[in-house]
Amino acid sequence: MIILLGFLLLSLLLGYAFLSAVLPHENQRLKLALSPAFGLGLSSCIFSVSLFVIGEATLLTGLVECLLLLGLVAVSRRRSIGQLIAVEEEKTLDLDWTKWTVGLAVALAVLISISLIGYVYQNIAFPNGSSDAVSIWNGRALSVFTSGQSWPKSLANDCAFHPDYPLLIPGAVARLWTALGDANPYVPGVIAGIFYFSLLATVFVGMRQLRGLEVGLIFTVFMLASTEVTYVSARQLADVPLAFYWLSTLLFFALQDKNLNTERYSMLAGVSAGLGGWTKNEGVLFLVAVVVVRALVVWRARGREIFLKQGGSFFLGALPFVLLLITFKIVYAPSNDLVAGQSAQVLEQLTDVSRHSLIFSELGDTLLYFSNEKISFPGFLLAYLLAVGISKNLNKVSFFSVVGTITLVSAGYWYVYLTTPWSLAWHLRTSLSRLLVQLWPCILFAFVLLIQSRSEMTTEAMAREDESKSG
Amino acid sequence: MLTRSRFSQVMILVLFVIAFMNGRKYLRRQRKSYKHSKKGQRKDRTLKMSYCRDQLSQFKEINDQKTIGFSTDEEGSQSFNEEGFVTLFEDKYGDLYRVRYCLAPKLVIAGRKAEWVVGVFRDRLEESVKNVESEGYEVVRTLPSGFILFRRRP
Repeated sequence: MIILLGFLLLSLLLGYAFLSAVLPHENQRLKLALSPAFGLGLSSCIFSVSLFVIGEATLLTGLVECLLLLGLVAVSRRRSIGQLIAVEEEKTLDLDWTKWTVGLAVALAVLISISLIGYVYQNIAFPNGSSDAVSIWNGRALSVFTSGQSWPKSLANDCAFHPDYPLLIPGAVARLWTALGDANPYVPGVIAGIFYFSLLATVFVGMRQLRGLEVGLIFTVFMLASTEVTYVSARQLADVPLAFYWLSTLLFFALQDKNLNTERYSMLAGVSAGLGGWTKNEGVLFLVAVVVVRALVVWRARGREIFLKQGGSFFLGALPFVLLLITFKIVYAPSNDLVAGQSAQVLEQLTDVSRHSLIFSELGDTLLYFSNEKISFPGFLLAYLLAVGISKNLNKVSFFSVVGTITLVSAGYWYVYLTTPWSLAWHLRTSLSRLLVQLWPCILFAFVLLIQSRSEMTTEAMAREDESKSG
Repeated sequence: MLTRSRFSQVMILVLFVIAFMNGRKYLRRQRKSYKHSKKGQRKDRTLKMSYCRDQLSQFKEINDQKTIGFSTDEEGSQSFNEEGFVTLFEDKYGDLYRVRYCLAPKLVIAGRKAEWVVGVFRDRLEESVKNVESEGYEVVRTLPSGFILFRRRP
């Protein structure tokens, strides 16, 4: 237990030190919210590199992590002169607390408790997760943990469903199992929980920093109301960690758009997108989509010079993870089952109207009744938007970056469904809701960027009142 | 008159009600599955790679007949990738429940249905067998490890 906690703490500290080294002046709360999932991702990458270099799972990675941690602490200490700025910023944010927001926070705490209890129930009943978690994620972790030098062969043969999936989650699990010396079935559940609650914390703290406390609280309630996300997380699937990295990428870009005097946010967006690519194949689609969209939006809105600076930082951040992924795909991973199964009928499938209509109707049903089959949650979001209106301070660069990325990723999904070698109905039935879980935090993020907050409404009403008085 | 700001508060309260309803439903579902597993009606799944590996000799014969391949620690052979897959997990309570779908009928790429398949199941055995039979397969035999060998019906 102590070893498990020690290695988890090491990951958390690594994530925090990394974020502090890159963003020394940033809000401490944001760094705390992001650091568990970032730390797990970084630790898993170091573990994977050791698999490639040494050839088997080893505890030496703990030593490498400690050395890296010390290096990052040294860097962040050198850059900590501006810490006062962050403290002042947090004090300003605390002024937002009113009776209304305290009430919201209390209700939110109840929702979080419900979510936590459900999560624990699920993980006690199914300690190894759902069947996909068993056969893909935890199964691969077990292959890495038990197979020694022959892990690549074991990955390809024993875990033959999506054998080419990257190793962030299996690596994180196998790292802890290696430290424990035992394949404890509760470890994957702990890791999945860290990602889920880190996602919730990032949703709250990130949006609070961008749009204020109340919008931060509302965004978190929207997330908690989407119980499908909690459910998928408790089933130990990689879709929630992926959603975390995608949301963090877009959040860093939104922070970048607010702070044009540094490119560090773009670099962290690159790191986050890179970690997403190392989590699941869909992460690569997101990486491509976000690069294309940001290139178009930033170039058009801010000009070539800023685009090159931000693009360069993003590239720098994503590069190590992209290299890791390329190495894995070229050297170790078998071919992708979706790609290998492609037939000469692709063109026919692309132009088949019945396939388009099946995808459209399934998507409509899943989206319309996401997390609640009686009340349409997206319908509620639309009604809310119509009621409160669009924010006057909307940052169009951030908003269109998010919407454009979601659109391109969705187009990619559509293409994969159209050309799937499996039965389309089966493929849709077994994966569509999970794909929606991946995108859901980003969809909500776009939504909360768009809506008008109550403080904006009050300011607007006061301005109108002043105008009418002076008129 | 209800101002826009006040209206947004009402909407947020409605959102909380929806969130609570969803949360309550989620909690009920999880509690149910927890109780279900406690009563032993739904068996727990435990990772037991080593146990399953001991059982792999069961596949030797199949390998020799060159119907399907399998890979063990000792020897690498043709993997299951082409026909489907088997996961190396075993139900710790017995072989009434299995941890993974049947390999073939639904997962095998259209037009490339395997002649022989080995399946482990997460549903009740008899239901799974019924499903697989309806897809044109017949049970050849069950193996003590819980794997079941099917053959496409001639």
